[in-house]
Amino acid sequence: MIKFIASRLAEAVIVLFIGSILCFAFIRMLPGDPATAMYGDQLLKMSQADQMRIVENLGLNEPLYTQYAKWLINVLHGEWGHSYTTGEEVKVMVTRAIEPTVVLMLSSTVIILLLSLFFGMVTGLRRYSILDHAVTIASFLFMSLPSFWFALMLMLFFSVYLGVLPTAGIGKEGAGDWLKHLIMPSLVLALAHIGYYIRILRNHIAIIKEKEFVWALQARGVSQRKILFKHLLPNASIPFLSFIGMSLSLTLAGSVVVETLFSWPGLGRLSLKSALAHDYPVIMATILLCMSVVIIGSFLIDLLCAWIDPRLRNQLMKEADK
Amino acid sequence: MRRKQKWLVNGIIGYLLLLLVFTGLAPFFTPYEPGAVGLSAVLQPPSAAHLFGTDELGRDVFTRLLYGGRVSLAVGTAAMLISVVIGAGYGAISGFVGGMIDRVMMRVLDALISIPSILLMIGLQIFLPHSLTAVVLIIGMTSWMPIARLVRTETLSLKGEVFVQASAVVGASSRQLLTRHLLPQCLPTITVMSVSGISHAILSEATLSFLGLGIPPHEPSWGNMLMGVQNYVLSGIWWIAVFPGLFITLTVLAVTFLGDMLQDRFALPQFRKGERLL
Repeated sequence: MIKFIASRLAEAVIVLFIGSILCFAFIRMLPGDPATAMYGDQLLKMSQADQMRIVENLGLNEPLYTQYAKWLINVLHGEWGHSYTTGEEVKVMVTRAIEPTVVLMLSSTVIILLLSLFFGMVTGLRRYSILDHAVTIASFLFMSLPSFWFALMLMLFFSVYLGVLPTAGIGKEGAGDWLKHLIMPSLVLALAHIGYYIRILRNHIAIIKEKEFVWALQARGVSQRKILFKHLLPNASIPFLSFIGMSLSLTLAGSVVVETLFSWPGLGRLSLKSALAHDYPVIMATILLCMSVVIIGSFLIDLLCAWIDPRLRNQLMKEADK
Repeated sequence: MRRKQKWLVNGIIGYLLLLLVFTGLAPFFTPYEPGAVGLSAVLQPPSAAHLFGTDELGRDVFTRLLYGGRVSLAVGTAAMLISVVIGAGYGAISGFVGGMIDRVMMRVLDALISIPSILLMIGLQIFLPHSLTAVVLIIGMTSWMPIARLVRTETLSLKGEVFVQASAVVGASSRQLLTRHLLPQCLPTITVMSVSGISHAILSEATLSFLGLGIPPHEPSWGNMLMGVQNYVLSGIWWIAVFPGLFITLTVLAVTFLGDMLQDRFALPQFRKGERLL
C-alpha cells in the first residue's frame, strides 16, 4: 500500500514539476524581458554598466536552470510578485479570491451529487423508460448549452421576469441573502457538467445490474433497496468518483465564466480580469494554483478510489510493484 | 430507443444540412447586410421586417446569425482539424516510441490537462494577435489532449498485434508502420473524437468571444453576438441574447448526437469508460 501511495505521489510531484517548468517557460516567452518590464524606457537611457548591473541583480545572466530554481523557490515561499495594474501583492489578491471560489465549487458539487445520484440511479435501474428518455435528453441539452448563455437565460427568468434572485456579487445581509446570491452561480456551474455524471452513473448501474452476483442476491431474496445501496451503488461509485477527479479542471474552467457573469469575487474572475489587463504575475499565480489544485485533487481521489475498492487497490499495488 | 432513433437521425442530419444551406447561401435568405448599421431601428423586438429583432446598433439579428454561423462553423471545424492533427500525432508517437520518451510525453500531457482549458487559452492568447486565425489556433492547441491519450492507448495495444510485427520484420520503417498500419487503425476513434471535437470547438469559440477574448467584434460570430449583451438582458431585451444562444445550443446538440451515433456504429470499446466525455 505504501509503495502504491509513494508511486502515485511521485507521479503527482513529477507532473507538478513539469507543469512548473511549462509555467516558467511561459513567463520567459512573454513579450519584453523582465528588465524592460521593470524599468521601461528608463533602461534605454541608462549607461551600459548600469544596464549590466540590473541584469546581474535580476539574475538574468545566470544559466536558465539556476533562474528556474530561484523562481521555483520564490513561488514555493509564496513570493509571487506584485500586480502590474494595482501594485498589490499577488499573494494577497489570490488568497482573498480563494474562499469565494471554494464556496462556489462546494455548493455546485453538492448540487451535482444530489441530482446525479438520484437521476443516475433511477435511470440506470429503469433504462428506456419515459423518465430515462427525458433525463437523457436533458443531459445532452445541458452538455450542449454554453454555460454563459444558460446563466443569461436564468438571469432573464429569475431576475428580470420574476425578480426573485439577485444577479451579482456575494450576499452580505444574513444567511438568506447569502444563499440567494449563491443559487444561480452554483446551479450554472453544476448543470454544465451534470449530464456527464448522470450518464456515467446510469451506464454503470445498468451494467452492474445485470451481473450474476446481483441475480444471486435477488434469488436469495435480498431486498431491492439493500441491493441498490449495498451493492450497486458502491460498485458504480468508482468511475463516478474518478470522474469527479477528472472534471476538477472543467469545473475550475467553468468558474471563470460563471464568476465573471455573476461578479463573484473569486479566482476565475480574477484570472480573466488580469488576462484582459495583461497582468502577467496574477495570471501566472492563478494558473499555477489551479494546476496544483487539480493535480493534488486527482491524486487524493485516486487514493480514495483505491481505498474504497479492494480490487482496484490490488491491481494498482501490483502495478506499483513492477 | 431503436425505433425512435430513425426520426432523430433524420432530424439531426436535416437540421445540419439546413444550417449549412442557410449560412452558406446567407445573402439569398436575407435582404440585409450583416454589418449594416441602422440607427433609426435600434433594439427593435422581433417583427415581420426583422425576424429576430435588431441589436444595439440596429443590425438585423437574423442576418448576423446567418453570417455568424459561417464563422462559428468554420472556426469549429478548423480548430477541430488542428487538434486532431496534433493529438493523433502526439499520441501515436508517444505510444509507438514507448519507454522513457512515452513517460515524459504522458506526464507533460497530464500537466497540460490539469490546467483549466480557459486559463490555457488565456495564456496562449497573450502570444497571438487578436484575430480569427488566432482563435482557431488557440482552440486547436488547447483541445488535443484527450485525442492524444486515446490514440496513444490504441497505438500501444496495436503495436503488439501480429500484423504490425510482421511488417516490422519484413523491414517496414517506423514511418511506414505509423502511417500505413497504426494510424489507419485508429481512424474510427479519431473520427468519433473529431465529431465531438467540433461541438467542443464551437462552444469554446462562443465562450471566448463572449468573454471578449475571441473573434474581433467586426466579424459576426455566434459567440461574438453575445458579447456584452448581459446589460441588455438585465433590462429585459431578450432577443439579442436568446437567438444566438439557441443556435449554438441546437448545433452543438446536433453534432454531439451525431458523434454519439457514430460511436454506437463503430462500437468502440475504449469509449465505454466515459473517457470520451473529457
